[in-house]
Amino acid sequence: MGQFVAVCGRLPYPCQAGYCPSPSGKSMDKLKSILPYLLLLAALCLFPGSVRTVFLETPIERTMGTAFKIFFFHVPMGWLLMLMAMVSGIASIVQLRSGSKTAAAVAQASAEIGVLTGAGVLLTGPIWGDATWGKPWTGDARQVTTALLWLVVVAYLLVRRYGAGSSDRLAAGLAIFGAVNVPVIYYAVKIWKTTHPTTDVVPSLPSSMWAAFWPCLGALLLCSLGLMAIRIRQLCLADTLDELWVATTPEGEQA
Amino acid sequence: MNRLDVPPLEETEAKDGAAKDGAATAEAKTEAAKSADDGYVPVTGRSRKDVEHMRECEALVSAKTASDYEHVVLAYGVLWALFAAYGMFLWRRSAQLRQDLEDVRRQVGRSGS
Repeated sequence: MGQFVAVCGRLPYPCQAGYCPSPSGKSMDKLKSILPYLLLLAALCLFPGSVRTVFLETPIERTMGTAFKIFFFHVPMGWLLMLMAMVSGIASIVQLRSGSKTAAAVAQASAEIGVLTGAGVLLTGPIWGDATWGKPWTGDARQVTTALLWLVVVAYLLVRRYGAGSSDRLAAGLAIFGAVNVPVIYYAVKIWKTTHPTTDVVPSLPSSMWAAFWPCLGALLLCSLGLMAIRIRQLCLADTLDELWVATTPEGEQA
Repeated sequence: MNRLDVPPLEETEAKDGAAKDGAATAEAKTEAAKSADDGYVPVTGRSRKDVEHMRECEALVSAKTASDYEHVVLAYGVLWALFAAYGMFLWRRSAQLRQDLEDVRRQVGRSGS
């Protein structure tokens, strides 16, 4: 019973009356449970304003025309992909060193958001490329390295999902490999000759464009963090439920 | 297709030539004199070629803008569809976890009794 109470205390939902110990940090738990929704709410408040700014207040770029409006969500998606790959890599290092299940959950949740934002950047990029370059895919270094990172993150998730018991360590290695790829994406435009602009172009944008860019980045970041927090809680809960199931199942039935 | 295949203005201007311009203006003046009675006032001082060139450019710009709008709508649609799909996945997963929790509760009740 002691094992059951210990596991049950980690559940985010109130479980069987009489079994759950009253946790001292109940308000902290409450805050943890509403934080993802607060983040999503904040993102929801920012989205309409950011879209309004992009379409009604930002001037039309002279050479690329209206298609430039894709920039305001394409670039933040690229940044988020890189951020999530870094978070996943760092959490995987922590997981490998300490065996922390929370770190494993953070690594997986951030990888899933990385796949989501990566799909976003890899789909909106060719759409923008088709409108401005006349070609959806030019095979330049930044496109290829970004696609490579996305595939690595997908591979990480596949190993986590379908790998055998000890494959978590292999998956963690993949996540670290993905994190190492992030600086390669950033410097790809400097190292190789690419169709993408160099890293100096984006900072030189006029202030009116930055005014539209930050809310878009903020909205996407808050939305991603909110979804990530929900996913982390789900993964922790799933782990706890597994342990609880094992703890409450009589030994004869476990086989 | 290159959407900005605009014929250079210099080319059309060269083709027109000063003599042609003069002839066109004279023709317009004659027409103006002829139709003064019925109130018709022809446009003078503008070359037909220039106007056609301008219309051609406007059509190209309009086509580019329409194509840009299509691309922008597609890009934003893809983006929001991805987030909506992931939100749906999380919602389904959450429902599944609640079901698992209920199963564990039943299991606890069974092993308790």
